Amino acid sequence: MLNKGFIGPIGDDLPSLIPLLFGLVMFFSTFTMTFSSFDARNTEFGYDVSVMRISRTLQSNSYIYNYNNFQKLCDNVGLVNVNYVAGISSQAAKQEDIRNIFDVKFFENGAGESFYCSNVDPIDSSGPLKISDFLSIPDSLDETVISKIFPLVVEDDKVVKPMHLFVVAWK
Amino acid sequence: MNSKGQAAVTDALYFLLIITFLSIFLFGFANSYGNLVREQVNDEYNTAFTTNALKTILYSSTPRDPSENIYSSSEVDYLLSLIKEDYSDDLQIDTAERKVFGKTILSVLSPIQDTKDYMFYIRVPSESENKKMIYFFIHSTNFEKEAVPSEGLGRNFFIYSANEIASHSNFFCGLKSVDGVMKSFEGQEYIDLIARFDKLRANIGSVSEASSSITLVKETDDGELKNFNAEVILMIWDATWLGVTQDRIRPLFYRDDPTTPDAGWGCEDAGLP
Repeated sequence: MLNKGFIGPIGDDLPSLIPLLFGLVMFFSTFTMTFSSFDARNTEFGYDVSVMRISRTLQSNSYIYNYNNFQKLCDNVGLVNVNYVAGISSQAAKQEDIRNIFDVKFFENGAGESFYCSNVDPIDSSGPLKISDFLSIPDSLDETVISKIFPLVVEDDKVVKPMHLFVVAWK
Repeated sequence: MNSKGQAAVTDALYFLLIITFLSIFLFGFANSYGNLVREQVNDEYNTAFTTNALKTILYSSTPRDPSENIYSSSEVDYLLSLIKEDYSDDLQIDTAERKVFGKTILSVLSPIQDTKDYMFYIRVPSESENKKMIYFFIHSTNFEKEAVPSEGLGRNFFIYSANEIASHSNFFCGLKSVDGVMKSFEGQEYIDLIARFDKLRANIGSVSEASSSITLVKETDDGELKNFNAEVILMIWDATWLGVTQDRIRPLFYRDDPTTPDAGWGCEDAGLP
């Protein structure tokens, strides 16, 4: 009589194992998801910091007095953990219709020098260079892309022209 | 002996309860992680953009003819020199120079013109000089207000969307007509304008601001030139409705029509696209 319903030491605790296992699965799932989320956001912040570093170096004091000055600033960017292309464009200041950031063309001075710098080679280097020559729209769909715009002035032919620095980074 | 299994199930349920709370906490924490850093990164970018924009406006050259642009004009000057020169003779910035200045501001801030509103002004806040608004330019979004059917919700709801044909308006403000000539606000009018401006600023949410000091010149009564300091400020904020709402019976900039600012602002259409 005393052993009614008794099905052994493990069998007796079997119903309690169900919520126990469910709890463990729930805990480790949440833990993994949280960890992945932390990791993704930290990576994102890492990209942001890289873009800010590139932008800050290239902006300098917002006054680019010639092509050599811009190239020196480019050399100061150094190694970064993202692919990037940064360049100066006069299109926005001329209020030209730019459909998207990939259509932005880099400014060329009278000597035909293009104001851009990048740690990747352009896909197509014929004609005036555009951001899409470094990162095309279809390729960008598979990447994490960050873009920033900053106003600055460029001295060209003794005229100080308002322009914009475009920085696009991806990984 | 018979209660042994029940005790184990109860323990497991307690364990499950604790795990549930822990998971909720972890989930909430994961969702909010980095929001503050993201906000700081955005603030940093907005501040850098505004500071750069102000520097760019002040450094820029400009055509002397407002109908031309810097790429085609044969006569180009530094924007600040042009303003200084124009201001020194009659202590006013004339319509042509106001437009030249406005065009430069619009071109520098063109990448953000669809999402942000902004104002740029030059004032003399000094006690030693007559307090005066020398130049005041506002770019604001032409919102259209559309009521959403909301019977029984206890409150009216509206959708604000930018006008499809003319999405923005540009105004020169702080001006009054004296003998057919537009002159800048000074004295009590300036003080009233600053009060309106302070109210607007307090109600538009997060603002990115950059300021700088410039030296202007004025001709004294005995014909000598005297330098004095003026303050240049650029303020950028997310485009928002500046008219009346259910909770705000006094408008910030216009009552119901964004193209018609309140008279107290002393605005005229800038005539710039």
